[in-house]
Amino acid sequence: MTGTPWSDERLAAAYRARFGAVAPEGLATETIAAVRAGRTPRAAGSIGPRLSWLGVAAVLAVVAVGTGLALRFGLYPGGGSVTDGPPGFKTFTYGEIAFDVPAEWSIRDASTFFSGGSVIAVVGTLPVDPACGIGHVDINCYYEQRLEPGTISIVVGSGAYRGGTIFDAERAAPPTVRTTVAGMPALFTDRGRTAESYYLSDLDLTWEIAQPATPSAVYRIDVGIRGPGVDEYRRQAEALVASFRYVSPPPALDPAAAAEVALVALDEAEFSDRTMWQLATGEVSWYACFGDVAGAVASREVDSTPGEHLVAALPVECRWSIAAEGTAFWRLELETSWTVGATSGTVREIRWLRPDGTATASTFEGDFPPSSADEPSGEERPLGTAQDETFYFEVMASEATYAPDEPIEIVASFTYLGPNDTERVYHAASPIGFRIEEVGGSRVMGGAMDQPCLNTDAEAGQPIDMPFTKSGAPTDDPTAGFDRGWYEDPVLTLPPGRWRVFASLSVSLGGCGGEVHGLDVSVEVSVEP
Amino acid sequence: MDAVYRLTHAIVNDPADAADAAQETFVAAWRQIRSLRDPARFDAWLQRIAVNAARMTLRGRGRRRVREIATSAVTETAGSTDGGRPTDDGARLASALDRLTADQRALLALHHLDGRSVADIAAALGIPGGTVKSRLFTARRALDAALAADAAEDGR
Repeated sequence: MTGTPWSDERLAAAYRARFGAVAPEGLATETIAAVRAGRTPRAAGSIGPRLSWLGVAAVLAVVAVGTGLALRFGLYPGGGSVTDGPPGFKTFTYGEIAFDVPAEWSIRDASTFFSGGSVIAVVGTLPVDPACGIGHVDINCYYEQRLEPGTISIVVGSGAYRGGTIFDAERAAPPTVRTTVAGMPALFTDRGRTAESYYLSDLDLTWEIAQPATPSAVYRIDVGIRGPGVDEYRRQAEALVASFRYVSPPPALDPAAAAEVALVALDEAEFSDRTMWQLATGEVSWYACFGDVAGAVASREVDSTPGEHLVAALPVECRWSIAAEGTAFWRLELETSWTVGATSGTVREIRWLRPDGTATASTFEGDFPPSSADEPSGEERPLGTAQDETFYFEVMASEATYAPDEPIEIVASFTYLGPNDTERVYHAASPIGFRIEEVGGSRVMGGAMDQPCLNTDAEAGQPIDMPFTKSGAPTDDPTAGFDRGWYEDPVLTLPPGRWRVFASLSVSLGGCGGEVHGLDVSVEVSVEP
Repeated sequence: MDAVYRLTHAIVNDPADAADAAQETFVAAWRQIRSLRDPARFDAWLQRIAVNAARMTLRGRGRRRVREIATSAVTETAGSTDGGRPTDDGARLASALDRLTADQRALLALHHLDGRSVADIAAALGIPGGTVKSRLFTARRALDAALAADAAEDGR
């Protein structure tokens, strides 16, 4: 590496080397499934935008043709394969997983991707209503089907534990127990017979099997059985799970390598931290504190926590330990204690490592020291807030003063406060609308929509960010508003002057036209030549 | 699909996030297809959606406190380092891009990866050609500075 700027040719070559790869195998198929899944609610006759089939075809054609992918209309068109298995069985392979299924059962593509998980296939003896799809089963349609007498339904998919892992203690609360499947940590839940089950099932079983890539994600096998023949179907479901395997099994942990693995992981943590948070030369990462010996307390002055700069260099004490977590992951525990004046705290981080020491997930608990983000800057960021019993709403500008050509960053954020863990929030094109008014002037930008009716799932306590977007109509009158070029520029810049930016939260609960919540906030920014 | 994936990859600098952004691009494209008035501008229209999807992915990544660490990020870095530092141009570029804004990454990717002209980029991003030129210049300077900063750290 030299210190001279790169030529265009060298830069283009570097781009091709790094980012010239084709899309991952299966992405096109997954995307088509996602587009299909997105179509379902509107196709059912809701208020969403009506799209011409020509438009659908255009998008799907780009997805499919762009990769040279030809949709395979066979037994399993969803990106997996079905082959002969052991006598009396067939083998289903999908990506990194495979399992055996009785030869007389059906395996239907139901590939659907959603936030935090996916459905891969539906398996079993329950006849699928043709209205739910021929080549591809619409999983929402399938979920409406009840079990018929003497049938078994198995839905295979994946899921992710947001902010946690399969090792979290609360996941193994009865009736769920821990087990091992394909050498990986797993959870098994036998719900027995669910009273007044919608599906009329006599037995419901679920396995969640950790993925080799991370203990934060699992493959799910959900089984529903309706008698007669419950015992035999249960045996067959258990046999299916027993045959579940990873095409390339992860290597086993080597207990003798634990300390070495920990040191590799600590080095990698420090390197990743420096890279991800752009620490300057000379700044000391949080992870630089940890010494070479397990359990030994080390001391260091650090300049950052994982993710944020500290107000000033801070002396901390730290130590680490490592242990096998099940058979497939290492559990590296990092403990860092700090004191600022009369305030002190301890941060505990657990990093889950693969057998070779590469990290796959991390969780934090405890109190971090004050960071620079908590410290008011020389010029405080403009902030407007509002709250009702259900939502907290704020709008923030990155600066109070901007230059005429400087991008103005405005972000509004709303947080559902409860009482439920999650709430479906109904809104028009966006839950938040923006408007700009010139202070002491006449120029304005703004315009809100009350259609279509879309929705967003909000987790309690989790802010949902919406960056500023332009809306309204261009005008050729420079005293009244902004021209087409300004509207078409996705970056917000404003002429010299003082401007008030309004953000309005307009949502309803329980459906469009349900319980209405509206909150308005604003910030003022200046643009100075 | 490949072109969209390459663009989102060059902006978010992570294969898994890039796949998510690419998928989101097509889902959003489907939802918004009625807003496409001129079919001849489909490529530019799709690129703009891809850039926005990648921006949103980056923004979401910044808020994560508990985060999954991408296998590829670890292995790619581990496989091409010398003493913990990237040793090939591709890895150096990826490291330097982490210091740039999403908009700068988008401009550079469209120009140097996709080979788009200033006029094409202006159409894709919906901004005047002159603005593209000035921002491209600024982005390139920022990238050079980031590469130099990484080089300085390598030399410590």
